[in-house]
Amino acid sequence: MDERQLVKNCLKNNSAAQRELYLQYAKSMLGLCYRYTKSIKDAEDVLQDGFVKVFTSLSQYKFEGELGAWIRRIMVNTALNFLKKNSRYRSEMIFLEQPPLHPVADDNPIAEIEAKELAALIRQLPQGYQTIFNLHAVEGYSHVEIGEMLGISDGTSRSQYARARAVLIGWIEKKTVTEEINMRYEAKRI
Amino acid sequence: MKQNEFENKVKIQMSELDLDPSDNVWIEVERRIRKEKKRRFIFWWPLFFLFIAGGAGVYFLKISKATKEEKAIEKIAVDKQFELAQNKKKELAVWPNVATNDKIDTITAKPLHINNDDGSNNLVPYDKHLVRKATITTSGIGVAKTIAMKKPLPISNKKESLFELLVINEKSLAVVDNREEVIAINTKVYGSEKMVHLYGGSKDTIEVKKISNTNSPSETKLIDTLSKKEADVIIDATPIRDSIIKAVVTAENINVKKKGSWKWGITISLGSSALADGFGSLEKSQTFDAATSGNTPNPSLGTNNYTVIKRGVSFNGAVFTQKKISAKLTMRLAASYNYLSWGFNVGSRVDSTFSPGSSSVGYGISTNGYYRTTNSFGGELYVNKYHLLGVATELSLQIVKAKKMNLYWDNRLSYKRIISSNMLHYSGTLPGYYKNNALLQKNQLFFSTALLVHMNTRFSSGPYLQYGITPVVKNQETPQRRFSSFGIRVNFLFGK
Repeated sequence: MDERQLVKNCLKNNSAAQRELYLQYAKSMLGLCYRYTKSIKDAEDVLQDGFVKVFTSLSQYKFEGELGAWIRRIMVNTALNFLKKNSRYRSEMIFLEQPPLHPVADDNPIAEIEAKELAALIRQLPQGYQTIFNLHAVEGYSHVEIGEMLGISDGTSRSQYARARAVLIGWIEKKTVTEEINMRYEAKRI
Repeated sequence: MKQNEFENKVKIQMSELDLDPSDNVWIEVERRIRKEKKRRFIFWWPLFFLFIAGGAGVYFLKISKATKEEKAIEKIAVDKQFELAQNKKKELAVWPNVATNDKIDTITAKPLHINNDDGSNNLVPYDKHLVRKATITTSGIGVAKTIAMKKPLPISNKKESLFELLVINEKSLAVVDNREEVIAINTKVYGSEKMVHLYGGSKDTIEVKKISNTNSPSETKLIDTLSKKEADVIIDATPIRDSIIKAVVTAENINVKKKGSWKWGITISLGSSALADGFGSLEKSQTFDAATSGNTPNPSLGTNNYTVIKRGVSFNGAVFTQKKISAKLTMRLAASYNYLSWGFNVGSRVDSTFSPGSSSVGYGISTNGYYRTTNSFGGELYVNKYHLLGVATELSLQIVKAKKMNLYWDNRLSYKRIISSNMLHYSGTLPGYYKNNALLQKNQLFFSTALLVHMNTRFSSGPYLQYGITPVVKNQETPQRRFSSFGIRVNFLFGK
């Protein structure tokens, strides 16, 4: 069934079509939700809220642009709302304009780690860094857009992002170095 | 690292991040979208009712306007558009200006005429009139007699059916008809004996007199007809012209109309609702299971787990039609939407499937998720909501009639059906509260009483009290709990 037909069937409240649409996007969208939250349970809660919104507002999708991108936007907004409403996250969502850390090395440690590991590192960032990093580096929102979404200045978004990026790269480098040492150590033992 | 290179790599890496959600996510998504669909459906019901009420209002206001026009004819002087039978041309015709003497033997009326372009007037045929009821008063007998012609007289191009009726007003009749069953008039019988012609003459009035002697066999026959009907009022006037006048008509006795016609309106009630054990305990609110169990609390709960019923909002919107059945009594029929609610405290929600088990209520039924019990000060407020659709019959008795205030006592009996609810039921085996609409007594009878002050002919308002005759839950042990609500009701009547 092509995507247009699938959407039309969903609009007719066809359960099979709704389930098919869900299965088509659930995995990647859970990956998205996972990056914004601190636990898989919270990520599933966001996913659930997001898909309820997707199905109840599907009539607003006018087949302009990709359906996946439309669903993604809903998921991002749902995740941000979840962070704002949930006290555990809200208290950590403090955005201060700070000077960036020292410039990071111009190498490419990210090539060395897997997606899941990278996601795990992103999730270890403080909540504010994590959110801004996801919005800018992964979703591609500009700092002006992020400022509007989070109610902060674009300068704050920029500085928070720079720090988040620096911290993350530091962690990645540390992780790859440690892993390399471990691997050498293991090789020697063998 | 170069700025964009890092971001691009992160983006690529993250696009590969797929995680398997647990099965519960889809189950919950599906449940919530079904619920949302249902909620939206329920949301539209009151709007649907308001739309119907509004449509009915506009329609009946128009009807009322038309009726007013008919009555105006009775009161004399109405301008109308009539179609000229002869030349198929629409022209403005003016209904005769009629006046009545208290002594019935003479009635004067201006003849029916049209305004011509040149300023002159001609007597013209009437058309499209309904004859309903006419009252004939004879000076000889002195008592009004009613001849009711309940169906409209047919008007066709045949000469024999050209005639109708001229009603002057409710006290004094005038006129006419063609066939045997007819009433009135003098004038000449023209051509066919069954044709009665009304003549206005060149003067401005038509005189209606008691008929006296006549030599015309046709007139004699007509007079015979009249006498059989015990009507002796006739029109006697000089002909204006030789054309046949499709005379007249209209009108009903105004008083009869007021008593007998159906009028439409809407009623809105807003108030507070809860559950009650009986008329003597409308405010009784100590409960541990809210609805499904008896007086004795479940021992396992202990007295601390009593929770207080908190009153909720009630709303009722209805479209009704009413008819006055006597001077002081009015009957109403209504179609209504009713929203009732009440709240109580529940503990935390447990998301697992269970069966209430050996509990007499809900035995053998599984439910998905339930709430723990709590006392009045713990947990969270849960609002049980009910949406009902139904029909009602009501009698309204005028108990005070004064210049400035008319007070009515309204008593209503309603049949309603619960179309949707989120009510929680108690299970002692948990112990806890769970949702199961199969336990609800969906067909409900209600009684309500209200004291309404009529502020004018259209608006009335006052306090009401509604009580459910049927228990809320099936197979309920004593005491059986029923809906109760009270608040303010406003009625609005369309038309005058």
